[in-house]
Amino acid sequence: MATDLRLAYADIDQELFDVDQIPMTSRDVRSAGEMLFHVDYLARQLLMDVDGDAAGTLLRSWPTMVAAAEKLWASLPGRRPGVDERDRPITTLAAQAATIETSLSGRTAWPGRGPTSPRIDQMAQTYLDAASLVRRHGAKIPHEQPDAHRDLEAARTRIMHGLYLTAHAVNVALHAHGRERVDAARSAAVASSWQSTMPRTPLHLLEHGSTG
Amino acid sequence: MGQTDLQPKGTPVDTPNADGTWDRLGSIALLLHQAANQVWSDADRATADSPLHDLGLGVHLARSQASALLPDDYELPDVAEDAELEERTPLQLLTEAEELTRPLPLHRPDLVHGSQLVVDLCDLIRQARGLGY
Repeated sequence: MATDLRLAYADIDQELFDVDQIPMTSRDVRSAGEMLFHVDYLARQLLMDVDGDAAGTLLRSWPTMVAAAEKLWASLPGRRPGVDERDRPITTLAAQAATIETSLSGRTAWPGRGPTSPRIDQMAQTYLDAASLVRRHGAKIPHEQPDAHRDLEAARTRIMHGLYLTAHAVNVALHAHGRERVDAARSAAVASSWQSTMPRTPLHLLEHGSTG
Repeated sequence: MGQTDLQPKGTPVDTPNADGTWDRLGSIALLLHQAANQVWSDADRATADSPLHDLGLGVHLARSQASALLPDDYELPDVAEDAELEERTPLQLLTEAEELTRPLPLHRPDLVHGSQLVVDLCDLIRQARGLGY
């Protein structure tokens, strides 16, 4: 019996201490503002330790995060009918992300099909959870009142702030990945060039075949 | 007015506390000033092409960014008054500066460049870690 218990704890150790995951053991009681702060926190952590190896996963996840942010933005009460100039930042970003998603689908070139980024996926889910919360309670918000209006503007800024940090992280990863590929190509070219200038010793002829 | 679901419990989205904001930014500027000095001291002992020179310049520029967000009449406390700063590593100073930015009301028009400061601090932390700090 004691042995069985130790095995059970070992099974969940990783999840218990994984700083990137919040185990949802009960109903999420966070407010939308707290969720936006959490996205900010996750985006900072991502930016602080991103590298070129993550470029593919980050790029695959980016359009999903932007789409989720757009849903949250659209859920905020107080929107004006028709085209609203205040929506331009998110609609522009959403159009760009949609273009990226289209260019990624159905291609075999890098990054191709593969896993997405758990961190960006968590940020996207948090945006969706916030949108769901706002849709449930948004009608009660007196958005025409100055305090509520300021609060809504702050929420929009926080959404863009989270996207800005994450976009920068994706950019950093892509640049690092690109540099690594260039360095690898140069190393291969140097190695190939060195091989072609090697003196034709009997051993070389033995390995590559005599030409005369 | 009752608290709405858009106002986080204990962490309101809109935090109009100008005095607290300026003191926070002032602290950030001081931390970055100390970090830049330490990195440059290390760079002086390194080779001319050491990446520490770039890091020192980056930290100095971030300090300038933080200072530029402050009102013209805000007086930064004297750096020499806080000897404890010298006991911390550049990475610790950068990390503390980044943590101080978290509650900043970045939606305010006078803090419109705050997001850029956050991005730069995270970049500097990543670079400092990569250099073994």
